[in-house]
Amino acid sequence: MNELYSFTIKEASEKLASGEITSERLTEAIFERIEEIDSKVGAYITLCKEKALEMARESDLRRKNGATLSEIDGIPVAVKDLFLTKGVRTTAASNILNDFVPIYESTVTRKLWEAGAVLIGKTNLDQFAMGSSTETSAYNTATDFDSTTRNPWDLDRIPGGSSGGSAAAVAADLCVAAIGTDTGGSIRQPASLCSITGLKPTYGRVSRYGTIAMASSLDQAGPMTKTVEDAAILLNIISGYDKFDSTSSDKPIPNYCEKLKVKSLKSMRIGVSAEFFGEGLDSEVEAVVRNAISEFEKLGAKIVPVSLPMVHYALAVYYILMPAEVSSNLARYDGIRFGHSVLKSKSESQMSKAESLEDVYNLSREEGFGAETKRRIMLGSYVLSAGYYDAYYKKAQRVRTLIKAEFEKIFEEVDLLATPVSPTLPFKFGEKSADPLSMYLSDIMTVPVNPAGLPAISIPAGFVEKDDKSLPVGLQLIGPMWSEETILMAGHTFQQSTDWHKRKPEIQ
Amino acid sequence: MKDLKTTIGLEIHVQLKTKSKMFCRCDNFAEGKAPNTVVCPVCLGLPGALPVANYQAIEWTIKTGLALDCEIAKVAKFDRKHYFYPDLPKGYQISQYDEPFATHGRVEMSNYKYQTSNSKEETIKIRLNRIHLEEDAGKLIHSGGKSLVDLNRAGTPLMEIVTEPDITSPEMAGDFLRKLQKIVRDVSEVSEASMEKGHMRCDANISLTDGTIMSPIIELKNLNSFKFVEKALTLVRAHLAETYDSRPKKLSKETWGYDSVNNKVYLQRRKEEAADYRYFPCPDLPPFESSVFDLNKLRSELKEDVEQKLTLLRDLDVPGTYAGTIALNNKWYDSFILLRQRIGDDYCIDIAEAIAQLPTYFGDLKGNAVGEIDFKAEVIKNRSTKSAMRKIFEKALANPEMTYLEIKSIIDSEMNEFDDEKIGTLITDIIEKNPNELNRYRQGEKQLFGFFMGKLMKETQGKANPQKLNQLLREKLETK
Repeated sequence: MNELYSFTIKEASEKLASGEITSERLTEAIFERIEEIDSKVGAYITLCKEKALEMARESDLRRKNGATLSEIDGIPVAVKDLFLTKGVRTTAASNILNDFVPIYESTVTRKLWEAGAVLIGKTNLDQFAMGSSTETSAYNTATDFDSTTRNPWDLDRIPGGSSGGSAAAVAADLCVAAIGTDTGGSIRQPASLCSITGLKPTYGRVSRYGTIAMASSLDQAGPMTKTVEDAAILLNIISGYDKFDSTSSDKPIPNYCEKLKVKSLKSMRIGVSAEFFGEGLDSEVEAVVRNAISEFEKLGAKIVPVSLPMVHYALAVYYILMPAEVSSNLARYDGIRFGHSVLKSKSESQMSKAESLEDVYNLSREEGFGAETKRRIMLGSYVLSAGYYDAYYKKAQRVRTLIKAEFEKIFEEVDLLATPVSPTLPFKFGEKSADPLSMYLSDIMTVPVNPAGLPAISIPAGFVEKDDKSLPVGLQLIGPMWSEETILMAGHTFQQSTDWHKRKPEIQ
Repeated sequence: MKDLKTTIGLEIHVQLKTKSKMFCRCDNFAEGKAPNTVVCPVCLGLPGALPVANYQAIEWTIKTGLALDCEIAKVAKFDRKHYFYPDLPKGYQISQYDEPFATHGRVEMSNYKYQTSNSKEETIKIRLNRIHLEEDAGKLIHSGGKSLVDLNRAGTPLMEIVTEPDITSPEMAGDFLRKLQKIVRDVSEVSEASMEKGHMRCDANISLTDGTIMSPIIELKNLNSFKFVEKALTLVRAHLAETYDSRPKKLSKETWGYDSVNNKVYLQRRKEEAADYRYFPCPDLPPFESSVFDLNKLRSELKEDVEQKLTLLRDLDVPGTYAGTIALNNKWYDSFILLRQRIGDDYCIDIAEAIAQLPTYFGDLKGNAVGEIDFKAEVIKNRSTKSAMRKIFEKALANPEMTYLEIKSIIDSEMNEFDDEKIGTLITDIIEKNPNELNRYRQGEKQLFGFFMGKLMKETQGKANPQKLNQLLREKLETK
């Protein structure tokens, strides 16, 4: 038998159902694993061991009484530290929320607990989800290696971001499954770099209520799991209309596990667009991705070359709209009502500088926000300023409409698009953090999906051997709005005939 | 002093008395409650909290727009207006920038007071630029060298009405506000619209010109009574006139305050440049399509419309007391129209009487099945007396399977206590007892028919079919 901690949701729920294991034992096994290796991986900011064991025992009791809540009842999950968890510190990996303990629960996590899931802890991320390497986190992670989350496949390399903690936790078996958020690739890119499955649902499929906002028109929460099947199970739980989120959709939720049984890609048309295979794409990555695409062909899909010229503008559009919304969403962190304030500063000299209300604002925000966060607040304030609004924000919105329209047109010809996820292999710490522009370019394959509101998944597609390490490469499948069923079905079928997703890193 | 023309524009904030706040479910009646007790994650601006728009507030704003002759936007949106202040929890106010709910309205006022040489019109028009909806901020309480924040008021719906600079004197501004208050109050429920309690707050902009050069624009903020608006504007106008020649003539803007205790105005600050609020569409609130509301229905609930209904009812000879109550009650009015469509204008008085006297049967027909409405119309058409009608209904209610004709035949049989012969005898009797009236009737005073009919009804005690009474009486009176 596999180690308990390495189970998928599917495996664990079957073993829980048969009585072979208990949720308490499973949760203990996960914490033993965390104690053993999280000092190397550094996936968590906050661990909730006592709470988790209590939740697990409650789940076992429910099961004993025949009152099991769902397929994930008793399953230990990790939650990106961007979701508000009532009574459990929530930081967004920023100093400005250092001691912030929410008074309410996010809709996504509420749905998890109502389904019986067990909260292991809150995972690390780029500060306010701004970054692609988890390096912008302000936090020493819970098990304090050296304050950063590492890629389980090579501890000298970044895990991707911003949901780097969740991706590393799933890859290193520090949880059974995790939840992340994706604004421009923050689920898919770390999923790809850590060789796990990560799904960004259609905008509006999952409620944003209680999730700390980065860019409200782009943010979407989704599952980060060991298999596509697990992603379908979690999506069933977290989807749906929320009366507290006016942008959530009341479209009926299909049973996402149902269509996984189809297992035939005959009559499926998969588009491959040259725009995703151009300059900047590592040849080693390209080789793995092309190989995976030919696997789809073997499974019966028809590969169709397509062209998406507007995609070239997606990154520019994203880096105007996203900072604009960031600058607005982060205005509430002003040191007055909650979070860090200069008036509570540890440094007395700082505190004495605050003579006026404006000083309180400036100093609290100066101390609280990290460099990348400040950069985006400034960019966003600039593009929204009088005289610049039309040239930047308004124009970007128009191009966004064109990008959306182009995708819509392509999806009249093909069912899905297959693309790389990250143009490069996981890079080394510090390699890009000094150069924001090259960091922004690592999102170039994932970003176009968000302004268009589309669903997309990253699945493990293979490995490249480098420095005696196996470095993962993921494949992205993009579908039209509300096509999660098709995406999951295609991904699941791929995983039935490949075993990339089953490989585990040796953590040294 | 030169002949200086005064130009005044107003911005009026009206607190809407909806049950809950503008973007959350908190109680909107927080006045007098302990500080920060009527709050939630949304109006506290906590991380992750999202606004959900209050449809009632939007409906009332659109209704006010209709009452003020505005164009209602097909699509309106909410925007974020950014500035930092401790009473503003999110660092931005959700307001409306370039696509408000209503634009281009007007208020007409009698011009007798203000007639000037170049305006002899009977009415003057104050144009309205726009009406939009936004959320109120919290309150700051300054005490003991500290400033405390109370967010109970944060999120209260505020309707902002902005005029064009069409007002030419402080008195006209006061009159306009009184007229506006009346209209806003008439849009039932919208607001208590009492300026003194801060339910209606007013900012005023004033400047003077001799036709070529313009004085600075002075903005008076947060005036909270009609009297104060007039007084403050009068004082500022005097100041602008006195300093008109000595002021530098470049366009500038100043904010002044009004001290109502000492009746004094004072300079608060000079605006160097317009603040940059970095407006952009609020991504948490999808654009709002006014087609979700039935604008015709909203319009029908306006006072102006009630007057139209009243005119129609009077034209149909419906007596005043009935017409008034029916015009004011939408359900009654709709029922009146439905019944009139079925049995025609000849029966309008009967319909009105039936609705006013037996509203449970006739006053709420809209949800009724067609057959039921037809039945009720037939009852009115063949109406005998109120008690007979009630009888028919009681029968009908007890025997839901019976048709109108079946029920009517039962009623008719119960009414045969007075057959034609009996009625004939009664009529002869009445005529003989009133020879004078009979004479006058026969000489042309046809309205005396009612006199005889009244006597006859009294004799039959409502137990005979009035149509039959009517017919027999007329025959007797006409045959000499």
